[in-house]
Amino acid sequence: MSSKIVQALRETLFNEAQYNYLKQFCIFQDLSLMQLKQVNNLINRREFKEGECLFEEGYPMEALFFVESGDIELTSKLGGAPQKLGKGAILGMIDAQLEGGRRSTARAQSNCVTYAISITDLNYLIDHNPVLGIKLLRAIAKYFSQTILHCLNR
Amino acid sequence: MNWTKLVFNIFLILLAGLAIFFYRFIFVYLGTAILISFILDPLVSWFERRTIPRWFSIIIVYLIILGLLAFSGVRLFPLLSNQAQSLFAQFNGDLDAETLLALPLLKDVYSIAQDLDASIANLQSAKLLTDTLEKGIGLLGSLPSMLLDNVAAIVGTISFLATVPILSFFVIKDKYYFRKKLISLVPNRYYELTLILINKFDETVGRFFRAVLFEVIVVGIMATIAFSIAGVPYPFLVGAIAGLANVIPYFGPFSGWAVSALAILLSGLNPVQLVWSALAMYIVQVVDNNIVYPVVVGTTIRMHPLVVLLTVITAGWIGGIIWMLVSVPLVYIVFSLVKVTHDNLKAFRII
Repeated sequence: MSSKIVQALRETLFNEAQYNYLKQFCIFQDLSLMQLKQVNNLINRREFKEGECLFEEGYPMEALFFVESGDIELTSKLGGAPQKLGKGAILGMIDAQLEGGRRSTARAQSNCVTYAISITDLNYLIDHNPVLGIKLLRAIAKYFSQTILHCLNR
Repeated sequence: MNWTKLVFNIFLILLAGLAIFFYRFIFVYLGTAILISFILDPLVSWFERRTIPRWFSIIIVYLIILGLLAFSGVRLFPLLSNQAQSLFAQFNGDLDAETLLALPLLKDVYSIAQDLDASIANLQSAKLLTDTLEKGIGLLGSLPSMLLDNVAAIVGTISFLATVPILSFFVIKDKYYFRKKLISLVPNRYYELTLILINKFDETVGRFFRAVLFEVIVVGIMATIAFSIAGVPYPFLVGAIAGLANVIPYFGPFSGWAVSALAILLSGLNPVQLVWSALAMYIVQVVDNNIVYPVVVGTTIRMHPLVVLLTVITAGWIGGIIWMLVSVPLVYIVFSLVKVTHDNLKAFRII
């Protein structure tokens, strides 16, 4: 009973439902309501039409893209087969950790809905909010581990 | 060509022009509110990170500032006001060329001029010195009346001071909302470029104004202490002016010293005090340039002294002392942002 009242209060006071969309992305799954709210302040919804470019190889790296729907193709002049990414994928995570701008080109294969956040803003959030920072960094490490494991198993 | 879209866009542009015309009087208010939001935002965000709602964080910050202002009002402003009144009283008819010529330095100069007049016929250098001093006193004497003549401007300033905090409240509270709305208008091609520019603007403008405010306070305090030790009269007033003038690179510190020199000469102190006050100002500048400025700003304003001088002179013509104080930082910020924009337009292969 009391938990239901607390839940109702949270939903009334903080409009909790409006931040739930962030939970579909693995790196935000462990965040609390207030932490989700802080991320939500900085995130932008971007829609891309089929064939539209999200970013090109060689461009400066500034935004991480989280794919909510649609298909995106990643290609690189360095070689390798083009990669197809869909719902839940995160674009730019490796480029964000390394200097030198974008290492691939991302193009929408169908109409896409993405959420984007500036890496400068995300780093600021991590630097100035240790609890949130640890949760995010742990989730990012898990994301990288799963990606490496996935590559090894292919 | 999509004519409907074109007509709609022209309509939007006309509407925007009309809005700018209608709201033109409040741009200064809004600009100041945005500036204050840049200065206060880190403090508000600090409270917000401790799970305090943003609107309540702003109220806490406002209360802190109100407390500081109340403290200053009780302790600091009466002191500054008394010192300013004492200094201005010297220009209010009590001062004449004869009084000035009784001061040690001018007395010596006047006696040399009299000796020269005795040696060289028709030179009249002593009379020239007396006339110059009379003209100088007349000019300085008009300063207090100039302040009193601007009562209307003072009333306007009070209404300005009452409105700006309210505007700032909404600018700070809905910062992320405005930011999101602005970004949503940007086409995908320019999205990342816009993020870079907004972040750079935030960093350059916010950090710069916060640093300038901090520096004005620190230099003001250091100058007050240094002038007190050096025996400069009215140290609080002169120190506060020196702190404020310090915003202008190269020439600001000199202006601070010039005010202290004026206070020393008018008080009839030994001219050797001028050397001590110069030394005091020099020490303050060494500490400021080597410790305070690098720590709070990180980088110095790299502008040629000639550009700074021309900027200050032009700003003085346009808008007086206030513009002289803000012109150099403004020119620096505009220059930095244009440079960042140019570099990124090239990096994103837009130009």
